[in-house]
Amino acid sequence: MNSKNYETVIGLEVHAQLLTETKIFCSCKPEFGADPNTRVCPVCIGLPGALPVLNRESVTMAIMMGLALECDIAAVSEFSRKNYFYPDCPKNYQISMYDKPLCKNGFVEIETDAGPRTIRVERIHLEDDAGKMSHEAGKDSLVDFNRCGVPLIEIVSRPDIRTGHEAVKYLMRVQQILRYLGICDGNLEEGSMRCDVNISLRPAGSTELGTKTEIKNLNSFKAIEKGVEFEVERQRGVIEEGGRVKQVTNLWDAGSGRLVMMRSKEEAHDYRYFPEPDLLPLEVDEEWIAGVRDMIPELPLEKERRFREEYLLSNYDSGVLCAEKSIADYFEIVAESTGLAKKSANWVMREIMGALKNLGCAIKDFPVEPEKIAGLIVLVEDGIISGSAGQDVFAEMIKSGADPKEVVKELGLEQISDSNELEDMVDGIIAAHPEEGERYREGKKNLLGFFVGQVMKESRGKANPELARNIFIKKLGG
Amino acid sequence: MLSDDEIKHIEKLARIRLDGNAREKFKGQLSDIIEFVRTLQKVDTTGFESETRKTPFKPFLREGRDGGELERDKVLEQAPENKNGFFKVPPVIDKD
Repeated sequence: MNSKNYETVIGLEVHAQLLTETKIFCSCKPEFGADPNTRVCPVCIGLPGALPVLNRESVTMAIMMGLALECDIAAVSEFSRKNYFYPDCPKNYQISMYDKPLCKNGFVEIETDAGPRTIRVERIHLEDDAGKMSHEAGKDSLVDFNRCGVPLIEIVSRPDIRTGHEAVKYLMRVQQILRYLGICDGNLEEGSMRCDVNISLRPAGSTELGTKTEIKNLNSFKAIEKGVEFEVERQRGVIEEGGRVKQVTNLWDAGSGRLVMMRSKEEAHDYRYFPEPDLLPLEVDEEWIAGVRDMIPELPLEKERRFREEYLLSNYDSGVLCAEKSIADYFEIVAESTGLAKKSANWVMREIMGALKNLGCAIKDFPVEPEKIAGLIVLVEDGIISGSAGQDVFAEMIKSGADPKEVVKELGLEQISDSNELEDMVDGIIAAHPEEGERYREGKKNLLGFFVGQVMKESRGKANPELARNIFIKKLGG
Repeated sequence: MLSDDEIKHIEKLARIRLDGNAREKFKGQLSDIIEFVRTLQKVDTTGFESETRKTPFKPFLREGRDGGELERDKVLEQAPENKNGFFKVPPVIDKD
């Protein structure tokens, strides 16, 4: 934070649900929003005698994230039991990894308002998700076990983050990479990506860590930024009044925009981790790792770099276009078809992304194919239609999905670029406005806009404004 | 020897409640186990890598899917109370 006296130290734990076909230790098929307790079996609800069998796909996806974040992949890792009693956990333990995680020592590169930063990643490990509880105020709580056993990776950062802004940038990058890899849909609201924040303050310049507090239940980027600011201010207040920060867990309440204390240090959990006796240690050989490496697509930072070099786009444009892989792919088809990278970038960033926002749809559901947008851009660039007519054509294309040339013909929008036809029109307008012509010749040059406006009006927007402008200058003289 | 507070903490973690006699009995037994491990820890293991489990077997991994979901009625039968397809438990506010 911006205090002279204290430095904020933030570490993040991200839980990401993997998009595997089956759960991590059984064959149930996860499905968000399925009827409660219909996606469960003896293994994931911990019935006596049921044995877990590790899903290969979940390991492959975890290795993929490990490689994408430049981690070391352990040749041998091990599952451990984390013991606790809570109604969302029917086995009374979570199968997680403790002292032998699958991935270690990686990093995430982020762009902040203050320039680029590298946030180290301590570890990535595999574990099973718990069930989902719903609480009715003052009434019983309800439990759905469908989520039990859905594979999670937990990505643990080092305490390298200093502000709420950086925390959000880090999370956005992690979300972006998960989505590029296609291993998690990264939906904070639905909880397929969840984030816990650890925060402490220390005197500026100190290398020791202060007592940390934890915030859970942060289900939007805005909540994370606000929650961090709120907690930093709270801790600063405690310290400045001469108090000591207690190790507590806070819950973010989105409704009131406040933190609610959940648990204090006295009740700190004692999880009694021990090696999971039902699973052998996980062995990952070089061949497996090499195979996963081949599955990794071009990642956001590489793509951004290529966009800058190949299409000569700015940092900003490359960043916006590469935020989502599907948008970047769309842009590339448009740019390749038009041969006009910057124009294509502008269209995708303004018109296409604007339309997506208005329609509330993802690019994969956008009704206009990139080849057709390319066709439209070329029509405008070649002067066949005016820029404003281009907007009308675009609007029509969204409605009908039609080819731009057909739309132009249908709406009669073809630009008048025939000099003779325009000259006739210009003559008529000059004759009808002698006074304005006089004032123009006396030096009121900005009346040119008025004249061009008249020709646009008369041609119902079809006149080529550039051409009309030149004809006026020639004819009005002065 | 474990203290009474430590035994009470373990009871709490295990969700069990011991009466006075049982508590004394388990205090002795648990203390003996801890003492036994303490003795083992004195062995010099320098030069040995820590291995929790050594077997000649390779872990078996599951590929693909073969179903196996239970019918919901059978699932809900496993607990005393349910409501609208959910398990019903006493109100919980504190969350792990």
